[in-house]
Amino acid sequence: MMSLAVVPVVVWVGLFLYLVALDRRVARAQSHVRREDDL
Amino acid sequence: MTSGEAMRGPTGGRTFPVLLQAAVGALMLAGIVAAFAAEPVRNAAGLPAFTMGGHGAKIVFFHVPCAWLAVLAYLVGAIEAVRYLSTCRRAGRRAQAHDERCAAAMEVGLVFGVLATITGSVFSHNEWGMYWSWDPRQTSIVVVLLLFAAYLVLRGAIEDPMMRARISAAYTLVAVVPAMFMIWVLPRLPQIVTLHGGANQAVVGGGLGPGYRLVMYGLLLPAFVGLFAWLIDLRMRVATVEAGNEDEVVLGGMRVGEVSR
Repeated sequence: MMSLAVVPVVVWVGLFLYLVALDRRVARAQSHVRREDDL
Repeated sequence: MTSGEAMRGPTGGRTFPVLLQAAVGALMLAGIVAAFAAEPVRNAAGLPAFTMGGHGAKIVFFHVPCAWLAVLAYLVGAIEAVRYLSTCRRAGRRAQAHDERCAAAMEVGLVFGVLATITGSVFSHNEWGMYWSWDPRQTSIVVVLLLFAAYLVLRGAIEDPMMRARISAAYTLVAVVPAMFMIWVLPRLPQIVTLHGGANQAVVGGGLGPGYRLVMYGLLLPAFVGLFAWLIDLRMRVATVEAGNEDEVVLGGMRVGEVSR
């Protein structure tokens, strides 16, 4: 049974890394919008 | 509203703390491993109480938090709708933030509602022999999903932002009544025959041992709630960027003569 756990673990790690990357991308876009606002 | 407020959008650029992100990742990972490591459910005679040698019950670790988050999303949406309607007269970033949070909660709620339906269908197939049997609880989740979807359709159909926010908030408050009835009341009526066997049988009096409760309440439920909060925060910040881009599109599409006029 434990060997089956590899599949959801890999899926979750992939999803988590994708979410972190998306979070950083949105943060960069936000700071870009803020910079333009300041200009 | 000043153009600065419009460009910054409703949240003003708040971010979900990195420590909380790490906590969500670690709790979910630990929960997945613990769910697979947990002993299979056995009845009093020591025989497997579910299919797959008793392991068939383990899908509740993921199904139940998803279903709870769909309910939580509806409640967050309703609270934000009330907060929007009570502040919308003073049009500003705070009222806009309540509207955006309500929309984000409804979107994320629909996602978790769909996940609850899919995981429930898998359990239904394994334990009861078919993916869908129009059990009262299955019927109620369909109605709740339709209420979520109708919110998004309604929101997408109105262009004026103020009108869209007001009508969406009013819809959320009207729809929360049948949604809560379908989730909390209908499946528990004594005359209703359901395969789920009454109130939250997976958790309350359903035979789950302390180990299962620890995995559910100690690891996976906090992980799912954290994921829910993270997704709402992310959706709000995307709305912030979109608000900025819309401003750019409007300014970019305006001719010089229109600006000077």
